[in-house]
Amino acid sequence: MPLLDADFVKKLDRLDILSKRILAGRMKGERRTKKRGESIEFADFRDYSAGDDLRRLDWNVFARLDKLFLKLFLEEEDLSVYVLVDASASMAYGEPSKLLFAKKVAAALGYVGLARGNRVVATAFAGAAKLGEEEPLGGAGEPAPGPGSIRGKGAAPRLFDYLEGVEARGATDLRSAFRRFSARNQRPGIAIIVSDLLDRAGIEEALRFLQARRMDVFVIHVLAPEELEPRLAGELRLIDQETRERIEVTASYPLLKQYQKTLERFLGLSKEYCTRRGMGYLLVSSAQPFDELVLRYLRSQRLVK
Amino acid sequence: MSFLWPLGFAFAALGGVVVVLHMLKMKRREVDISSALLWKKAIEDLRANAPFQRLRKSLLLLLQLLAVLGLAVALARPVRRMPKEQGRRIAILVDVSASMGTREAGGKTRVDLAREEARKVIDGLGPNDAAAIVAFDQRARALATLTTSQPVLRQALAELAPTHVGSEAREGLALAAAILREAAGGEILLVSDGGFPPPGDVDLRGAPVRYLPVGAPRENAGITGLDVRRMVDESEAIEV
Repeated sequence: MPLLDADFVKKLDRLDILSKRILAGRMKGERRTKKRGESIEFADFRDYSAGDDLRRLDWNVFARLDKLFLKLFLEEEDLSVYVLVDASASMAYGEPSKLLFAKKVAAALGYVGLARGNRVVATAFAGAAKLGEEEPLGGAGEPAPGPGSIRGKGAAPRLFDYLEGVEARGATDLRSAFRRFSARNQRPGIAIIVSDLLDRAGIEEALRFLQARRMDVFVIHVLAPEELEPRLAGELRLIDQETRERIEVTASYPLLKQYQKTLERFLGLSKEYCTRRGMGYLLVSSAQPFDELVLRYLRSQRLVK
Repeated sequence: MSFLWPLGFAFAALGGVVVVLHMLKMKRREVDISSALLWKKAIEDLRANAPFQRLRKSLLLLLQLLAVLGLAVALARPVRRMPKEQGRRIAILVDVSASMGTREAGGKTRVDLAREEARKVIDGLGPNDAAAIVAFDQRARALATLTTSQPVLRQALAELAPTHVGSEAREGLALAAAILREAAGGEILLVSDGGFPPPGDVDLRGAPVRYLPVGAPRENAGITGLDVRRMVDESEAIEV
């Protein structure tokens, strides 16, 4: 089954990815910038000086005023859209799995980026994995690198194929994953992170790497319903899917209550950190209807319009 | 406290079996979770908040061990030697003098009424209580000496019957007191119509006397005896 069905893709065509900041691109694109340049969007006039492109002279003004004015237009540039999908083993958890959900979100957002002529880099990461477009296939526990920098709607199947092939494995290490990522991708852009953020080292330091690259970061925090509201009872041995660590618990009411408290604190801290640092943050359950998330929630969060 | 069958304590060893079973049962269900991160934090916090959590975890085991221990103790049959409880001692003293043969309203003699009263007393005896039954007219006879056996007492009651002579309470009281001699806390229950001369000074050895009257109080008058004799001197004459 494809990640996105055709009807949904049609809806995506109407969307665009928003950036809070105006980021410098390298190629002409559909995005307006502050820079003066070539586009159909008029910005200003200025006096002609020797060497200016004659094509940009406003001949009508010359005819009326007998003076040479240069018509300035807003430059439109492309935007780099980075989609980072957490493919650590913990993402395989949940019914439906968090990874599938994350893949769909990544596919949808990547498609929106492509459809609007942006440069899209989609990649899955775990931690021990090497990230980036130029990397060869990773070793055990490392997800395959993405199709690299792609552009245009025509590249969408490459994006989908790649995401469909991503499998969850390895332990989460956001810090090294993002460090590698920011070393490979130096152009500022929008970095959309789809992850469960379940990293022992925390998320603060990891996200700092992206911010250092002046990325406009948006975190989509995916958790499974089983994590948000675990329904466990009895004497249990919980097995961590990433580290195979076993913890023995008696799933009693006080423990579940304490878990809820811990979870709420974790979510609260994640959100607070992101908001304080000017990053977008959205918590979603993998049981949530995915199209609704993209078409409605991400809109309300001003990630897409 | 001692035990009739101390060997029963060997069953306490079953406690070991319980522990083993418990450990076998502790094969925990394995559940995959995405990450132990949150769970570990939650468990740590819970332990910090509730130091007795660990104890509570083994509450089931503790209860089972207690049950086994209780069973073992029960099997050892604990006994406690208690000083035998002194029951009440009652000497039932029934007047069987001629006046007791008087029929009361309802056609029962006073002896019958006295018997009923005495029976009530006997029925009310506890397992440790003992009673004696003494019948008296001018002399006193012990129909049953101090006993806890109710059949014996009932049998004795059945033997009560009025005689033809007057009553001498003194005799009866003395005998009753003598029967109670050994027993501390004895009590003499005197069942009578009250038709006897004051008993005077009787050594009751400290036993209190309770008087249980039967029959309507009235003057007694009765023909106690009728004798027909031929006069010695005149052969034709008969003396009544």
